[in-house]
Amino acid sequence: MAAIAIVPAALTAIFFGAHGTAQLLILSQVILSLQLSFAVFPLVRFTSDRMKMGEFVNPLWLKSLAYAVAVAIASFNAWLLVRIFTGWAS
Amino acid sequence: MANSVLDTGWRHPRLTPSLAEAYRTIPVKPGAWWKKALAFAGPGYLVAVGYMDPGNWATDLAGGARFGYTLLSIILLSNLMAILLQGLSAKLGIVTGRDLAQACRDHYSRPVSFFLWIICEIAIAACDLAEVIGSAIALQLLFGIPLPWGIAITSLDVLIVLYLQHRGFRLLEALVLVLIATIAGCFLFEILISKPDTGAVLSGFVPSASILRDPDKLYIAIGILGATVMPHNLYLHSSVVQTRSYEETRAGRREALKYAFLDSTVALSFALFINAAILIVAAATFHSAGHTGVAEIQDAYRLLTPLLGVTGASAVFAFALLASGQNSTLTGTLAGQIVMEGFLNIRIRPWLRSRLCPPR
Repeated sequence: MAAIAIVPAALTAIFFGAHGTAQLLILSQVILSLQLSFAVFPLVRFTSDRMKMGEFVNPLWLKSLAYAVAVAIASFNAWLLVRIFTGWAS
Repeated sequence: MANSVLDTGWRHPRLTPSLAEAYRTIPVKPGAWWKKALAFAGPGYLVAVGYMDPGNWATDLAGGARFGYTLLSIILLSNLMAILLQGLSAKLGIVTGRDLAQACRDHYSRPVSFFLWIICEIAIAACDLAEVIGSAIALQLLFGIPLPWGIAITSLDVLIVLYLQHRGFRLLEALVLVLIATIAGCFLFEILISKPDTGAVLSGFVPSASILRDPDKLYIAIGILGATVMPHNLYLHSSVVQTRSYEETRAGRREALKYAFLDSTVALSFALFINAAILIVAAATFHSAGHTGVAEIQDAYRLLTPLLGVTGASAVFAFALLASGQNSTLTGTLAGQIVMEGFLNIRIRPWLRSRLCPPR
């Protein structure tokens, strides 16, 4: 797993130097933003599922709060992605 | 399994336990509450590492240098979101006996979980990439090691993870805790010498309407909120809480939930301290001296000693960065293993272990 990350990191550092690694850091942020919701929404969904959680299921207030946070995080990241891509285009 | 909760509501029964070599290896003995709290302490610190990784440093530095203490309230808010989501992640692990990767595999259809697995692997690689670069930058600043060599050195961390897991999960947790304490100690030093204005720091924790009015402030604030919760931590936490051998009954699970939540909340408070400290040092040192453009770790390193007039201020900063980068590489590697094993229901350890650790 680590090898997958190290090869591009090493190549970028060798060929593009420090500035290239800064760009690579932004790229990694973009990828993380894209994937985050695919972890957060299943998590909130599973823990709010009475069949799966039984008596430990999220109570209504926690479910509402968790979905609100999940939606907030998703919109923040969508907005950031738009900013980054429009920044690259201009 | 004696509990009816464990296997209802899933498409497949649970096959292998999460992180099998460490699963339920840490005993929880009946006794005083603080003894139990100590037995459950650990997973939260592995998770907290991701909240103070080099990626957070850049946003904290930029926020402090540009806007002073104003964004401290945003760091506090993002920490509360983290406490909520990590609490849910721990709960998923304790109640269902599945980590988030296994839960996805057991809930969604094959094509959907295949898709989730692929994007998750890409994200884990991106995450590792950021951590490894952070460590390599620290090695370059401290010892002048060229970036490619630093990257190669940092990648050896994966061997440390495998070795320590083999020797006992508590050892891995102890190493992580020592590194966190190192980072905290370094920033305590930086705060003491940068002498921030206490009143201004405290008022920074109160949300200010100016964040919503100023588009530039809002941009950084959203950057902090969007980037704080990292996906790999949600997989990691739901897995590592299961290293404790709590009783698999309702009462046992309820107790495990309580102590696991305590553990992660205390540990995440350390992450709050460190993120706040980075922003405070940047505000007290760069913002007040007019260097509002500091956004990169290398700039901060170059400016700290001359601006503070204290020898070693920069070195201590880079040392903390090295600890942070190493730490997040360790936990990132562990998360990578959990994701791979959980989504595919395979064990990647045995063949690797046979090369690293000769049979005893």
